[in-house]
Amino acid sequence: MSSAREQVLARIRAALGRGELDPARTTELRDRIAMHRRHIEPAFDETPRQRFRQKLEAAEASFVELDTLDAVAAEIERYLEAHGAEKRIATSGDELLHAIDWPASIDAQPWVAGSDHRVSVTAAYCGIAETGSLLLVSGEKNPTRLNFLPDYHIVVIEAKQLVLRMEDAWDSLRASTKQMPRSVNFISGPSKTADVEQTVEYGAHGPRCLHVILVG
Amino acid sequence: MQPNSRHFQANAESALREPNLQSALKQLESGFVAGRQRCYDALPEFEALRDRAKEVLDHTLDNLDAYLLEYEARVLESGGLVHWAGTPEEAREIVIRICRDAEAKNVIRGKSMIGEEIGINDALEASGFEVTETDLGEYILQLGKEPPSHIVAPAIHKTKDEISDLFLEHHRDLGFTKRQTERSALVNEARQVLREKFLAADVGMTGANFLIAETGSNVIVTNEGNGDLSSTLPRVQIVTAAIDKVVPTLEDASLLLRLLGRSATGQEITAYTTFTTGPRRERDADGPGEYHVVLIDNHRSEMLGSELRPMLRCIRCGACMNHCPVYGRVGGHAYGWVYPGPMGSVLTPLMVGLDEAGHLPNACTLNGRCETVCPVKIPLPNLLRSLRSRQHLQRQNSSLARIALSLWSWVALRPRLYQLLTRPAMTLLARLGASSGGFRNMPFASGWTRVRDLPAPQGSTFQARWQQQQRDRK
Amino acid sequence: MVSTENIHSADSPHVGLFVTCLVDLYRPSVGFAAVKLLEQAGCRVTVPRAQTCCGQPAFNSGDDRHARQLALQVLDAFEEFDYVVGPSASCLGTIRCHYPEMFADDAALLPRIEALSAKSHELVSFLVDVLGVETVEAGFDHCVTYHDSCSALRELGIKSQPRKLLASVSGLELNELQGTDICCGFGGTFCVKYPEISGRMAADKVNAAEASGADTLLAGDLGCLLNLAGKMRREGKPTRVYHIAEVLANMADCKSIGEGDD
Repeated sequence: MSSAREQVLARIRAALGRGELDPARTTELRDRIAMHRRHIEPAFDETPRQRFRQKLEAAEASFVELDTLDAVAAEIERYLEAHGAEKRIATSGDELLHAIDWPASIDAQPWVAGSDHRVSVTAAYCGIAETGSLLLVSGEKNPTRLNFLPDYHIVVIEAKQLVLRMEDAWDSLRASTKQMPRSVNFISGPSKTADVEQTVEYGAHGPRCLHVILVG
Repeated sequence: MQPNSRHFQANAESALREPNLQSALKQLESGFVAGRQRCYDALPEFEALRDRAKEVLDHTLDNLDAYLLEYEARVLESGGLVHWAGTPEEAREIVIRICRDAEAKNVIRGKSMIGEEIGINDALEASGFEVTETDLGEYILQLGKEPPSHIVAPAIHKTKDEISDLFLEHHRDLGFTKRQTERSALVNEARQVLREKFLAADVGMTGANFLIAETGSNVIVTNEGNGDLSSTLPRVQIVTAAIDKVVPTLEDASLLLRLLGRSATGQEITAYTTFTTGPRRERDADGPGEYHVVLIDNHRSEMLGSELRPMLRCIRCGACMNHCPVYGRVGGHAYGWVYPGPMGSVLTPLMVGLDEAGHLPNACTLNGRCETVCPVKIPLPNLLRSLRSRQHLQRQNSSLARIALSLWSWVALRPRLYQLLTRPAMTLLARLGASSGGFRNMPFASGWTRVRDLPAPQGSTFQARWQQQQRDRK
Repeated sequence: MVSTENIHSADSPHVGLFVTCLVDLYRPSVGFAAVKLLEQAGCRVTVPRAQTCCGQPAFNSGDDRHARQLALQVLDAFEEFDYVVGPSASCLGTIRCHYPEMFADDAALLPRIEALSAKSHELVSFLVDVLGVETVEAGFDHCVTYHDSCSALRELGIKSQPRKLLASVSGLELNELQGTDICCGFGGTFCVKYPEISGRMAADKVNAAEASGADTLLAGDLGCLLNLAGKMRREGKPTRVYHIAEVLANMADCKSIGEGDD
């Protein structure tokens, strides 16, 4: 145990006018944590789908809705052509993307260390309607860097993955994994900065363009 | 960073004469202030959120030791390490040791105010590491060798022209020989230069907007994505965070996130909000192999035990400075240290000493606009007032002001004497000023008459006239 | 003027007028305007002699001992009244909001202090919120702008009340001030300790007043008014400056603040 640790803790306790918390109180606090009590959840009138789209578009993400996964490859090709982007893309290994049948005109490769792509396609863990956020989690098949390094970030998400609020995403994550993934990224628009004269410019460090494909 | 707060007066006066700074500050009202107002108007639950946030943070502070220990345990479980630092010196030593142990050369930093507070960049550079700030604003300041002037928008005082010059000077050797003048071209140039730094970095340092006891996560909120790259690409991640950053649960963090972006920049949510927990897992595709958290006290435990405890609720949104009429006229550098504006005027005296920063609690009209917009309801004017009480008790305020005010109070506590003195005084003053209606100069009131006239009084006093009227009536 | 104590019955509210030191010393006409407005609204008004300053300068300068002593002087002088009313949100805000803070640790005095605070009101908000006054009998043929003092806006929640009564003044047109929630730079001792900053804040307010197109600036706090009138004079602005009570009481026929004979 470092002495700085003990000193800081001792100072905190002295400031609070008490010693170490008794076990009963500690248990209470652990119970408070375990309850995952939600606070005020702002109401909204739109449907989750409307809201999700509206918020993302307001943040300058582009957005399309497709009926089936079959149409995703063609949509991505259209998007890349419209932006004059190269048709060489890195994909995450997410299962949702396995269903995509890439045409020969697109060079889509699962990401491997060292690869350098200007376009990435990843899948969201879920989408949060309240804030228009894509929630992406790291893992064996999901390198976090694909969310940040490319110029174009294309995210595929199924409509059934939409949740209302952040709190719903937490519950869903808790139910699906024992431990928080190493990285949980809420992405709510392309990268931007207002550090030059308080005026917004897109594409600061992360993707210049964020394209969201909502399926179903 | 060496504090320069004792020269607030002179700093402020030169800031007032700086036209570029003045035009940048004028944009605050139409930018951040108007943006926050739009968010406020669009969210009927805003006040309820503020109340709940205060409640949650007060609860956390009441049990700070316990939540820090829970947090520490979860970090350890996730494979990370937690280091405790009582002072900035200890924090710097820990960071340098981690970098040395990792045989690192290049360190990249995502913007963090605690990094400024502990002076980590200078310390790392002095130890032979190459340090690069990656937040665009911080990067500009690093090139210009300047401290930040705002906690959210650190380079708010820099003009595009100045940035063009800085980039040309520092990027020429990297092959960027054209002086860019368009905003988008400047942003793009920085992107390219910094991309190389990201890819070459051994250590990524970030701060934390929150630490979560439930999961051992740190949360960072950015628009650029620099903090996220700093957390992802290098092989070592170091999170520096103050002890007051911990909150119990993800739900508690969600509550605060609803307030943070709205209060800071008028955004419901920033482009990126990232929760990082420990180092890369065994099967993870990427992420750093080492994850360190440095928990820093630096006088916060002292605040916890004093009437200034509410300051520890601060979530560093910057709304107080955006809405501060003094900050809005003099900008951040005048305050002379890391944290400017109302929150800085509370923190700086505690961190660098009330003798150094004695001006700051006084350079405030107590107009209270900061308190009304604070997302966690910190009673900033009251905290500044209580620092004035400390100064008064320690006799640290100017002796002339003390004497004048004590004299006023002494007389005011003797109403008969007060009335005896004030009536002839005001009669005389009224007579002297009657024809012109005011005074351009007034002995003992030069602070007043330096910038405005002193209007002449009407003559006599209300009390005298009232008493006379009552007597006449009888 | 007839004594209110003669024309009002014993059950009309008995108001102790807290004159405020600035009105007492600088602009007695505001005190008389306050008395007139309170009387018109059916109050019995008494002006205790043993009043001077509410203690705010000491309190805001960290001199808690003197601030408490002055608060006790106010308590002694005003405890007997149904209401304590004064033409300043700054002073009445001190009594209402800060006196209880000053005595938070004094269990013996706190109940008395809190009772005093609860019955203390700024003049215009007292007329509107407590007495239910809707209109005043006054005329003022000018285009005015209104400066909200920070203590009015943020300590006492006063914003609509002055506008409501001004709307009933015949001939008066109100043009709102841009940035009405921003401080004018007075700030008590701030304005003499940091004159350059204070002066810039005042200049911005003076310019905003001019830009509003109004020929007269009104406010409810003499501190702000002296600051702004002084800045108007220094900048050579023609805008005239009055306390709102003078206009509401139809007593704005005197010289405006800082107006000379010539």
